[in-house]
Amino acid sequence: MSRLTVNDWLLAESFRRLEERVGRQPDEAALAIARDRGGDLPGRLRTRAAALAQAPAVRADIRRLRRALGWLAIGLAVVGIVAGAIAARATIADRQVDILLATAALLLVPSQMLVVWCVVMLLGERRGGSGSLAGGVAFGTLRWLGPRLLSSPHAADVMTAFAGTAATRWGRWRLSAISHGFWLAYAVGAFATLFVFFSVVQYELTWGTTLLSDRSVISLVEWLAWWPEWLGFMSGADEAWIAAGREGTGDASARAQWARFLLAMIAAWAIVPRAVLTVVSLIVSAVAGRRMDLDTTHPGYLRLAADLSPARTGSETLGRPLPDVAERPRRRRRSNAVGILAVAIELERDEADLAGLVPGIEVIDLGSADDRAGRNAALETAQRLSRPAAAVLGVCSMLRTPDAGTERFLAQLAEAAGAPLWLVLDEGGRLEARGGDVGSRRRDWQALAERAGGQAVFIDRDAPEAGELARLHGGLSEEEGGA
Amino acid sequence: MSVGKLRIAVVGHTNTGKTSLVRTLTHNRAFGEVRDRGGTTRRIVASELVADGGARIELFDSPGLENAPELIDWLDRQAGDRHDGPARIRRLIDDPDAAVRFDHESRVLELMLDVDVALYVIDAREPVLEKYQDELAVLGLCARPIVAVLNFTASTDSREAQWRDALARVQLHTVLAFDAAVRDPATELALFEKLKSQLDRHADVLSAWLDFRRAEEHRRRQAALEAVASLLLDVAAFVREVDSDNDAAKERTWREMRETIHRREQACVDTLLELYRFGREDYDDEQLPVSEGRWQADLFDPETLRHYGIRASGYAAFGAGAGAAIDVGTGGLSLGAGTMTGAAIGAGAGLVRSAGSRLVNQLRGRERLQVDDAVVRLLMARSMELLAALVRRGHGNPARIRARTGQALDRRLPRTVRRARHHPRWSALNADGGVSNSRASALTELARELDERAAEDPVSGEQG
Repeated sequence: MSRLTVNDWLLAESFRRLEERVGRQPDEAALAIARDRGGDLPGRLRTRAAALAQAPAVRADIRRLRRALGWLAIGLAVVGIVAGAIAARATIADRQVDILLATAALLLVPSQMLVVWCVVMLLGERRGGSGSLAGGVAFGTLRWLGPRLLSSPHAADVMTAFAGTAATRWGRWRLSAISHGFWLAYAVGAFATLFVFFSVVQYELTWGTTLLSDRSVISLVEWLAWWPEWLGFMSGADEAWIAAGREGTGDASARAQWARFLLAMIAAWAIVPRAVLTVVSLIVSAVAGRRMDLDTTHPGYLRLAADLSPARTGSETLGRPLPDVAERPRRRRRSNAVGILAVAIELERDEADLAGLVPGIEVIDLGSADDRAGRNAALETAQRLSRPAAAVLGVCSMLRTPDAGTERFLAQLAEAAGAPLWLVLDEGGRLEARGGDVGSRRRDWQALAERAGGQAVFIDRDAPEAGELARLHGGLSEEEGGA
Repeated sequence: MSVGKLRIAVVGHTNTGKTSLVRTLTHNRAFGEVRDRGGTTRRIVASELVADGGARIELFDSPGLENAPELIDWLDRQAGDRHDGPARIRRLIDDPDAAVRFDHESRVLELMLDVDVALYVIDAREPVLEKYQDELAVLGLCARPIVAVLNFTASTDSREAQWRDALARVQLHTVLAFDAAVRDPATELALFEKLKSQLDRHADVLSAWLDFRRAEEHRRRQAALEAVASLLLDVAAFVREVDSDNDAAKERTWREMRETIHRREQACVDTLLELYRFGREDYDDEQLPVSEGRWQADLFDPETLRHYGIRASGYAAFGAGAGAAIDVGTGGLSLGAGTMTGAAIGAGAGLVRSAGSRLVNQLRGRERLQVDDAVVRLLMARSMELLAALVRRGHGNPARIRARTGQALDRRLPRTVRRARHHPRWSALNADGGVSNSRASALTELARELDERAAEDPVSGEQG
C-alpha cells in the first residue's frame, strides 16, 4: 500500500474536502496521469491531487502552514522558558526556601501533564490529538492564524485538512513534540533561573513537616533522589544528610548541597524525560510523516476509485463492425398474378384472423410462421401456386424486434410467391403500453421492409389508424385491380 | 494473492439487453450503446472487472443473434462430425460463404469458443419462440457452460415462469432473473455464485470477485451515508449573521444561503451519483425549495436543553476547579466558598456564552439566520431516496431518476442533526467551520442514525 508524505496527504485531503463541499474539480488530465502512473488507490489519489490545476497554490499554503507550525513551536518554547523562569523566581521569592514546596511547585504541574499525555496517548489512539495543552494551543492558534496566513482560494479546505492531521500518527506525535518542547523549555527556564539566583544570592534551604513524621519525609526525599543519583546529577542523599536539612536544626552548612538537590530534581525529573520525549516524538513524527495512510473509504475518495481504476473500462472493441445489409429491389406485381397471401409472424394475439385483415379484400391465410414448420408450410404453399400472387402480407408484431431471420423469411416468401411484399405491423398499442419506443420500432420495421424489398404499414388491429388502413387498402386494390 | 482470469461472453438474441447487463455488472453506464432497438451493438466489445489481488474477469458484449433457425438448418445439412459441436462450429466459421451469410452468428460463435462461460440473455417479456430455442441449441454446440439470464423480469409482461420451464426442458437449469434496469446487489452476487458453481477451475477468481464486490458494496454504502450525514451537518449548523433592521441585507443573505445550500446539495448528489457510478444526466434534479423559515432554538427540545446544560455544567466545572484552587491556597480557611462561587460564576458564564450570545447579538442589532427544520428534513429525504434509488438502479437503465420525496417529512430530525444546530463549527459552510474534532464523531454517529432510519423505512431501506 502506498505511503504518503505529510504534504501529499494534506494535498489529497484538501482536495477531498473541497470536492465534498463544492463538487468535483475539472480533472480529466489529472485522472489520465494518475491512471498512467499506476500504483494502488492511495498512490493514484496522490498523483491525481498533485496533477490538479490548483495543486501548486494549495501546496504553497501547506508549506506556509507547516512553517507557521514551526514558528508556533518556537514561540511556545519561548513562552515556556519565560513561564519556567517566573515560576522558579516565585518559589524563591523569600530567602528562606522550603525545598519540598519549591520542588512541588516546579515539578507537580509538568508531571501531571506528563501523566495526562501518557494516558491520552495510550488510550486515545482513535480520538486524535496529542492530549496536551500546548498541542491544543498550537493547533487552536494555527486555526485562528490560518485564514490570515493562507492565500489560495482553497485555504479553508487546507485548514480543515490540517486540523485532520491531529487524528493521524504524524499529528499526534508532532503535537507531542511541541508539548514536550514547551515543558522542556519551562524546565530549562526554571533551572537556569534557580542556577543564577543560587549562584549570586544566599538562600536558606530547609524542609519541614507538620502532619507527617520526619521518617516519612526522609523516605520521600530518598525516593525522589534515587533517579538524579542514578543519572549522576547528585550524590550523598543519605538519611543523615536529609535529617540535617530539617527546619529548626540550625545546620545551614548543607545549603549548597540542597540547592544542587533542587537543581538535580528539575534536571532529572523534568529536563531529561522531556528532552528524551521531545526527541522521540520528533523521530516518530518524522517517520510517520513519510508513511501517511489515506483513508480511502471517505466518499470523496471512493467516488474516484472507478475513474482511477487501471481496469479496462469497456472501450476496447474487437473485430470489424458488422457491414450494412444491402436492400433488395422492390418486387412488382406480375401481370398474371392472382390472390393475396397473408402470413402471421410471432404475434402476441391468440387469433391472428388474417382472412379479415383488410376489409373488402380477400386474402389467403397461410397461418402462423412462428416456427420452422410454419415457415416451411408457408413457403411450400407459395411455391405450389400455379400463378404468382398479387401480394404477400407479412403480419408482424411491433412487440418483436426486427431481425435478419424474419427479414430473410419474408423475402424468401415473396420470392416464392413472385409477389410484392407488404409488412403489416400490428400490436403497436401493446408496445406503447409496455413503455416501448414506438417511433424507433416503426423506423426499424420500415428499414427491414425496405431491405426485404417491400413496404410497411402500421395497423394496430385493436385500434387501426384510418390513414394506414387506407394506404394498405389502396395498395392492395391496385394489386388486385391489376390482376 | 495471484489468481487467474475468467472470460465471459454475453450473448443472446438482438435487443435483449446484453449491453445493459454488461453495464450493470461493470457498474459502467458509459459502456457500449443502449437503445431499444436491434443491432445497436455492431461488434464485440470487451470490458474488465478487476478485484483486489488481481483477479480479473473479462466480459465480452456481442452483437445479437438474429438468424439461428437458418443457421441450424445449415449445420444440419453439413456432413460429418455430427457429435462434435465445436468442430461443426469451426467449420461454419471457416466457411467463407456461411461466415458472410451468418455474419452476426459466426462472430458470436467464434467468441463462444474462446471464453470459459456464456451468459445467455433473454428478454423475459418475449414468448418462448422456437428461434430462441434454436439459438440455445447452436450455442450449446460450442461446449461451453451457459447461464441463462432472464432480463426485464420486473416488467408486468414478464414470462419468467414460462421461460424457466422452457429452459428446463432443454436441460438448462442454471437460470437467474436479473433485471439489468432494476439492479439488486443480492442478485448480482447470486449471478457470480451461479457461475462459481459451474466453473470449478475459476472458483478462486470468482471467490475473490465476490469478496471484493461485497466489500465494495459495503464501503460504498458507508461512504454514501457519510456524504449525506456531512451534507446534513453542514446545512443544519450553517449560520449567517445580519443586521436585524436591514431588510435588503437580510434578503441578500438569504439568497446567498439558498445558493450555498443548493450548491452543497448538488455536491452531495454528485458524490452519491459517482459513488454508484452514475452521472448528472441520470438524475432529474429540481431546485431545492429553501423556505425563508428561520430556525429558532426550541427550548423544549431535549437537545437544546442538553446543549445548554452541557455548556453550563462544563463552565461550572471549570469555575469550581478554579475556586477549589483558591480554597486550597487559603488552607481551607475559605470553607469551600471558593469552589461554590467558582461553580456559580462558571455556570453563569456558560449560559451567557451560549444563550447569552443570542441576547448579545440582539442587543447589537444582529440577527442569526439558520434554515428551518423543514429544509433539513427535505434535504435528508431527498438524499436518502436518491441513495435508495441508486442502490436499486441498473447501469443499463436509460430512464432518469426523478427527485422525489416519498418519505414522511414530518419525522423528527435525527438527534445529531438537532445537536448540530448549536455547533456552527460543525458546518464547512461557515467561515472557520468544519474543523471541529467533535464533527468527526458527530458524522459517524449521524451516518449510523441514517442507516438505522433507512433500515426502518421501506422506501430507502434497501441495503447494499
